[in-house]
Amino acid sequence: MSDHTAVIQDVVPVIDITDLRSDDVARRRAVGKEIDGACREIGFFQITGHGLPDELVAGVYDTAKEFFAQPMATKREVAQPNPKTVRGYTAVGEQAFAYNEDTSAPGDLHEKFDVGPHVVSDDPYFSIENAGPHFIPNQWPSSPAGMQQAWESYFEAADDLCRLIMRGFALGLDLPEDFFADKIDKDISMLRAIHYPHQEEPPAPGQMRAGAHTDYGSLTIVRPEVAPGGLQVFTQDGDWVDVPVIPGALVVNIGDLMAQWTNDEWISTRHRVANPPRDVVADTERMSIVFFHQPNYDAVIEPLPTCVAAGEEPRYAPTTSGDHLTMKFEKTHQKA
Amino acid sequence: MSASSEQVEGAADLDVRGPFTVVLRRSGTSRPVPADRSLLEVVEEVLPVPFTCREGTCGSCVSTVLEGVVDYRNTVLSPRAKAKGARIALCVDRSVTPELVLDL
Repeated sequence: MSDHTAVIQDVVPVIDITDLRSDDVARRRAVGKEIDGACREIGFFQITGHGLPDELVAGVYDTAKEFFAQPMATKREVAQPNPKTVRGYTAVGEQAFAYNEDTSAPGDLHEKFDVGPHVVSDDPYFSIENAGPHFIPNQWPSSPAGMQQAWESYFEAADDLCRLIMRGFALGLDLPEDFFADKIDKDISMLRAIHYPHQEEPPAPGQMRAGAHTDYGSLTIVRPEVAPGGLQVFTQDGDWVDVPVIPGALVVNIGDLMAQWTNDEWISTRHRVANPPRDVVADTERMSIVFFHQPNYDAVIEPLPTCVAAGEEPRYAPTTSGDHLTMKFEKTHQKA
Repeated sequence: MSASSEQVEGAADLDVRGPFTVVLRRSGTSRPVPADRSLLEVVEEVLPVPFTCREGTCGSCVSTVLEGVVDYRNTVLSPRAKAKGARIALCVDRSVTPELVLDL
């Protein structure tokens, strides 16, 4: 941890998003403007009034905990098949988030389990020929029982929440409220449980629970856990700041795709998950439930006209959500 | 005040890495930083510093500058932080002034 790591409550604002569901557009817009302010400064905010039921959180948390507690051989039965197909289990040290910065960082101190959208459809839009790996079926372990159902329910609820937040994004950016709707109606989001085991041995130099990185997509929703060794964000002033865990709140951050969409008016902030201090004697095990929202694979992402000043060139060439994501995955698993 | 962004980019393009002296105020010591060594390597001889990438992209080794003007070469600090000149990525940044005083 840097010497000037500090807990500053104001860095990541807490926004009550209850009014995003209001009938009054002025109240919806007010929340959008709060979100806009947070995204211009730090790209992170915590939400209350989100409506994600506790029992859905518990369903994913409990089944994930049970899954990770199984023997390695059992977990390997649903191992992620290749870097482009982010479905299933990845063991401790097998990937480093910092790789996408082309660095030589050691593997991260976490294991994880990923699922993508569960779409049952004959529409060729979802086929491998057209969609590539983005709608490949999920892998489910034989135990714990009920894992698939719990995760699919959470996925659906988190997806709905992201659609609501992105209506807030549109209002915050002075766009029509439904601007993003047709770009996220067949989204290629992912739900991940990340398990940070208790650290018996000190980490290798430079090794972290999750190395410094920015997220890829439109937005990320994290349900954190109160335990030592948590999320830190790198501010515009150049300081690593702890993000406090607020019971019941969810942490939201935007990713590179959203920064690109807003021509860098919104910031995709670098963050990391620090190691617990070595003087903590208690169990420092920790689990996060993370929903990475990613627009439709064929959604074209080009800087919004409202974010490019008259007479100026946009900073980014157009890309698609699917191509952008695939490019990022390949880098995450490449050791420099 | 720090060098302007144009000066910083110009310096990086030329890849001029002059020697300077680093003063570690809290540790109460100073060290020469020769042209062929990084500031991070020199500081690590005195105290442990967090690091990950060692190439100016991750922000792990960013430290506080008390005196002196930083020659910025990192890609992790924001334009705002570089304009303030109060933070430095030890792994790649250099010094414009003959001496740089750090809060380490």
